[in-house]
Amino acid sequence: MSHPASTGRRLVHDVDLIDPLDVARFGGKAAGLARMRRLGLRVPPAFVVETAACGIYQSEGRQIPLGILAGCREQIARLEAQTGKAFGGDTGVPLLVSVRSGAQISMPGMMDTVLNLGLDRRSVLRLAAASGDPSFALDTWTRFWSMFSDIVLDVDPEVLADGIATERSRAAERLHADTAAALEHRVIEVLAAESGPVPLNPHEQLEAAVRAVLDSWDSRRARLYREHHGIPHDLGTAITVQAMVFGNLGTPAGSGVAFTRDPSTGAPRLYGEYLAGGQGEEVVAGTRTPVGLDAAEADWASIVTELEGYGQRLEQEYRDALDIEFTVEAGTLYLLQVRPAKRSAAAAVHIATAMVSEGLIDPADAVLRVSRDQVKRLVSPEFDQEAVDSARASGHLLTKGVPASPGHGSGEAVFDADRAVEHASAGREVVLVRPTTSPQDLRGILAARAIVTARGGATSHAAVVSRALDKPCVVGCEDIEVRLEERAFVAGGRRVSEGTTISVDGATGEIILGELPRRVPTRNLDALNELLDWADDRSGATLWTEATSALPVELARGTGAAGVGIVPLTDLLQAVGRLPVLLKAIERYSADPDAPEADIEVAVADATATALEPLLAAAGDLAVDVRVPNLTSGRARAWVEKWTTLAPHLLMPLGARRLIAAYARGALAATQKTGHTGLGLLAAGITSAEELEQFAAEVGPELTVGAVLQNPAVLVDATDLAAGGRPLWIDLAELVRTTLGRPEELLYTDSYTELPPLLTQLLAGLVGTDAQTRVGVRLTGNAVTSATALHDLGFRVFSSTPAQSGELRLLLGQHVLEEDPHD
Amino acid sequence: MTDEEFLALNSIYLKKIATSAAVSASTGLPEQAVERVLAGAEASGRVIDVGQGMLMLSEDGVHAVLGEFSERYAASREDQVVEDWYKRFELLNSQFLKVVTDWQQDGGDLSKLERLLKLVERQVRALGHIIDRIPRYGVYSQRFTQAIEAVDKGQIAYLVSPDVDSIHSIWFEFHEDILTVLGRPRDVAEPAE
Repeated sequence: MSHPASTGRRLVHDVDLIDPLDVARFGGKAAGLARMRRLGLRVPPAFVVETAACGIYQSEGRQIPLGILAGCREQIARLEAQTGKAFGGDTGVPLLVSVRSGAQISMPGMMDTVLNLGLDRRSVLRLAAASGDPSFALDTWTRFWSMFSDIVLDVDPEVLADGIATERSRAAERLHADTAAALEHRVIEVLAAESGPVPLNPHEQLEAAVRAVLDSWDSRRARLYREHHGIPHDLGTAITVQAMVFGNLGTPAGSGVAFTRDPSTGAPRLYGEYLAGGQGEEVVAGTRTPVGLDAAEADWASIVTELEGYGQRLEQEYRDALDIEFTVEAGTLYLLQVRPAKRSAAAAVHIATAMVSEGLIDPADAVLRVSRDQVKRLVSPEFDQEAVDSARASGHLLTKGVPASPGHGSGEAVFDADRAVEHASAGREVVLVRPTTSPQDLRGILAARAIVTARGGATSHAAVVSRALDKPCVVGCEDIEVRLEERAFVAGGRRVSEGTTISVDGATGEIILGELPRRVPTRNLDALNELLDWADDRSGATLWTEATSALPVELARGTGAAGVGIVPLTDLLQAVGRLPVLLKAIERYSADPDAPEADIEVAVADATATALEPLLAAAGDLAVDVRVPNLTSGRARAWVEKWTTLAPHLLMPLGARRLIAAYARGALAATQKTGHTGLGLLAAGITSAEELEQFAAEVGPELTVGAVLQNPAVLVDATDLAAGGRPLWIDLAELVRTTLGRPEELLYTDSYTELPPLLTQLLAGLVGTDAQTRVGVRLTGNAVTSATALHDLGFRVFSSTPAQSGELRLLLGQHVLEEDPHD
Repeated sequence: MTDEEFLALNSIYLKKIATSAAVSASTGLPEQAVERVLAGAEASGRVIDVGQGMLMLSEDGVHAVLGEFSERYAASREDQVVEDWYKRFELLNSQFLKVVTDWQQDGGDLSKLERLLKLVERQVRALGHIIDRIPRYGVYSQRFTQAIEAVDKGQIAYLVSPDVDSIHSIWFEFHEDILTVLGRPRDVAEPAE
């Protein structure tokens, strides 16, 4: 079989002439450029070596086929003609190009971008003359060598920078033929010592960059990635070569980045900044202060208008918020790159919902545009803003450092890792404060709610570890002095010693004295709910929220919960300080089954009513499912002092009948007092459908009765339970534990991610019948990962914590859309 | 102190708290040898068993390890080759931390991952230039290589998670190790930005 190369098929193409939809052949980058050029957007001219070149290069023993080299020369000549510049050569303004790899699917191991290719000791002088700015020309040239060294030759660019420092500063003093030649000579010397022969001529450099892309396709890393992700090895990568334009040639000139919508709020307005007479990288690197597009200088006004027009056209085409990298060369606006804009969690939700109402996307697209992490971030509690303001006003702001890992946390200040671990294991919340961190502090970081270091920047080891753990971290608090031997730090003349509670804002870098209350911010909830309702439409899922006090109930209502549950009555009793009443009644009941009603029914009913009233009042028209205490649970064992000596009959299923009656009496009183009509009382730990009926008989006809299923035994009665019409909840973590016979200390851990097959089989019996029984699944912690499997089984009702509820709704909606995108 | 004891105690020193299995994994010493050495160190009061197989150094132990560093690396502290090597490491270190940060803040951008792994490979090569002076640094190369392989197979936790022997965990330990070799306090070594 003959190679395509020997049949003379073209492998190098003018980007203007390729099919923008053929991403497999031309790669994502070139296809994107072609799409922009087709839209009539001004993009610097480019050419592409198609993906088939990879296979040919391999099969020809890693030789670049002559046809490709000839094709590149031909295309370079076209770029020269189109731009009026010269690539290499001895006259004219130099043509510089960028070289990028661009596969259909991006993957690690592929060559990074090389910019500014086309300069040598002669052309750098002509670039200096054309721009009237020798230091720009020199920077451009040394930046090229830095990238070429790093990316094509794999030599640490810092080593190169060190090696050429003397010659570079001579050239910077006065750039002329001698200093440029000396610098080039030195560059070659340093690089040759590290890597072998180095190409000098721009045409040879281009060839080396092309070869580096072709080699990178076959790098060990790229191969492994493809194997891991099932991507075929023969897909190949394309190589895109594009003419560069310069933001400091002519006037007006400059470079910048524009967002079609505000990347922090999502507001639909052109947002961004530019640097007059600068290169894009300087904007990104933040070495000079750029000008906001909303405050553009007079000669930029028409450019901003033009950008706005481009932005709207591009949004129509790409149906997403975009970031646009642009350069203005001698008054002409060029778009360099357009891609989906990075955005904050709030912006992601606002943009997705706004685009639906603008008719750009449909609700299904919107659901897929937001990530679970973003939803999680939007419902994670923040310091209450009023509390922050008043703390500031009353002088409680201790210091402001460098914010290194976002999030809000409070705790007692501790000054070494051992103390942090010690206090945390005693159930206290701690903030680890260190002068700087070493690996010895890792345990302390794990135990702490937040981390503060006096020294170090946002890229310090402490910052890296905190971000990996998703913990608030503030570093570089220059004006605090940590006195380890005194277990204290001093900030602004104030001494904070161990045990003092401080609050850390990882987003602003503020350290505040005292504990600040945390709330879920409400500002984004409307947009989030709109989005999550669309997710529910797809999944058909209904979410209940676990809450034991008024505040989370309000949040549950705010986030569209169908009900509040499962609420353990024990937690409610504890919240109002009435748990001892129940514990005393249990002991009394155990000692004497015929103890007077005042000690059992009256006492427990009264405590139950007191515990339920605030929750029912807050719930309003939301249904509430409350689980009665289970005397065989691990918590009961820990709380009931003489548990081992309790009368055995109390521990039998429904053994404590008088208590059940008492809970029912209290619950009924609470509903009457609050006017709440949707209370369900759930039995726990039952082992058969018959027991549930006995429990119901004990409770009486006035209240709705259901059950929490916690062991596999009761699931054998699935058919009867499903036919019974009583609401049922599956306590998934507990069921997995009992099915696998694991100790209580190990509930649902990371060690397995799939439901045990026996459990899947048993659970399947509860759904799919025509019965109108509501069967919900309680998903908390890691059990959330089972949500999609349960949805596949047919479950549609779930309960979780307020923090996880939104994430779960999005997950289920996305799951259905991914399974059946045309749904 | 024997070489084996120094390796084992230094490993606990860097980790603060470790099992003998972890000491074996991070020193390349066979587990039996580690157990024997640590039992001896426990008997002499340098190591404390804090339960569940976790071991820590006593104050004496920390003192002994630091003393050993001063003694063993007195020559290295005067050696221009080691000093130059360390300067190159500092350059690499600040690039590494910068790119890890970019990767974390960019939601796992693949090109950042690529750069990050490239820098680690450079560090592995650089370690090859110093093992004639500090032979035990060969183990860091092996650990880095194993972590890179894990990341290549899609186990992203091996980048920065403190729960596994991740690239950042190894780097962090190595950084502390080289600073201790040179006898420099960490306070002056963190990038101030």
